[in-house]
Amino acid sequence: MYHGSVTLTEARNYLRSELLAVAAIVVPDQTPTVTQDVGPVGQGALSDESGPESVCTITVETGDPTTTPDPEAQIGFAAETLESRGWKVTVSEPAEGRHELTARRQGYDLTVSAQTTDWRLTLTGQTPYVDDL
Amino acid sequence: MSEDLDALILRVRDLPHDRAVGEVDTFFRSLPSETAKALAESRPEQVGPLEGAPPELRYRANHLILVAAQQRLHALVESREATLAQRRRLVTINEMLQPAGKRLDVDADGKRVEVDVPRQFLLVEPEGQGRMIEVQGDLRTARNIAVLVPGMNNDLERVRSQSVRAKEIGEEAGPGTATVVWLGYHAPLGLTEGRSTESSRAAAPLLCRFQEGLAVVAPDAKITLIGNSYGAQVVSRAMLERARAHRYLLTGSPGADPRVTSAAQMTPPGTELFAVARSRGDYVSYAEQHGPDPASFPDVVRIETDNERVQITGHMGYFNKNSESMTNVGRIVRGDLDAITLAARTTPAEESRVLGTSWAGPLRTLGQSKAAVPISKVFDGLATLRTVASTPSRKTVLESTRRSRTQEGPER
Repeated sequence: MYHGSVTLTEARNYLRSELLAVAAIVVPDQTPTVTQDVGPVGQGALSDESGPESVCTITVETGDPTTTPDPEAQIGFAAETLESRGWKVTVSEPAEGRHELTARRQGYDLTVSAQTTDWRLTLTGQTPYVDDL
Repeated sequence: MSEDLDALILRVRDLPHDRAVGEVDTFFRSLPSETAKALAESRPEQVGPLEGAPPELRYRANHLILVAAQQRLHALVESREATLAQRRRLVTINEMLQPAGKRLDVDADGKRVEVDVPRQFLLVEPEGQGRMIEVQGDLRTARNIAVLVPGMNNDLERVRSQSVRAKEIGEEAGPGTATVVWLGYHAPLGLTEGRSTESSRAAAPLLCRFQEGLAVVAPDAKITLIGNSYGAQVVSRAMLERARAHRYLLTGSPGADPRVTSAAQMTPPGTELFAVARSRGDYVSYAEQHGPDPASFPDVVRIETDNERVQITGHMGYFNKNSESMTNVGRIVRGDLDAITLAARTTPAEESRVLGTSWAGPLRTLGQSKAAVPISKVFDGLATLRTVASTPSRKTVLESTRRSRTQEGPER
């Protein structure tokens, strides 16, 4: 059901490898972990599930529990890393200790978030919608 | 003890929701923890769906219901007596028994470890179309809880998609958030059923009781009730029956009721925020199948759905990643109400004219036809084309009425 130059499986594999690569660069001494990758789901999940399962969402976590959280630096470094890989990055204003960026490239969407009270860095990505191909 | 449980269930069945869940709460508080756990394990069909009962007991009971269904279906498959639907259901139930994912944590020695995140169900009905209520996060400690009511064509086989969206909403709202996918009703399957309010009228009291139970379990949490598409019809009906929540959000609503023309008519007392969203070209909202679209109410907070990165058209994009719509969902759920961005107040007729054709009337007619589903997909595509090719952006055309990003709080 996936249209375009790549299959949904290829897009999913690419997204996973990109998330893992960025996570490994931002927190170099830790092995990033895929915490969710359930496979294709319907993009209209909450409204009308009659459509095809056409989107994959993947979450990767990383971090070093022995260090003091520095979300500002981590998000800044993540932004630099993503931009160097061709992503268009938007860094949000921090709110309630939450630092976050969003990034987009060729229909792929990505969010990186970190907290002042948490050592974990979370990267969540989504494959392009069919309309974007 | 088992007889006491039966008597309790019988007694609370017809009580007002708040009194019913209060009695259930009192009953379980009076039990030693081991006795309560034993009751959940010996009577899962009764404890699993019981509003007001401790969630930990209900998770356990519903897990046992799923395991029993799995064994029953597996036996049918083994004996080659299973229908195709039963085989599909077995796949679904197998998946519902798998962990939702993993998370990183630290062990007693401070070492980083991977921990499975278990699925948590407050209701499972594995037979027929199926129903389920799934929780992500910790209801006991959550500061904010989002309850999502899915719309048409959702059955047990679609659980995975709903769970993924709930996780995204939880992440958008940030730490201290728990999410609930409330498929505690039989959603309409197909447009013929969707044209009827039979399903939403049956769902409303169930949702009201669930919300009362949630208030008992998480008395300090702020609860946001979100209904999308036909789910918005369900939430609207529940609001008319004074469903308890702090904030309400309707997206892509097909209307509440023909007699309801303002937010004031349906907003329960004590509401912090009643917000709605309608994106450009949302044929379901334009059709106003079940009444005037709440996005057109004169006294409602209408949230923005577009930003410079992601523009939403049609009915399916309210929860698109990195959209203004999704960002606003996160703001509402975590109570960051001052940061909500607002859209212009327009009517479906006005928006239809902006898009170059009046759709509201014709779509109401189309909604009556069997061709409505494929046609609605075409309209989604049309909206996209018109946006790109011929239609001035909503920002340009509606600039005079648009309320741009604002620092003011929500209107009441």
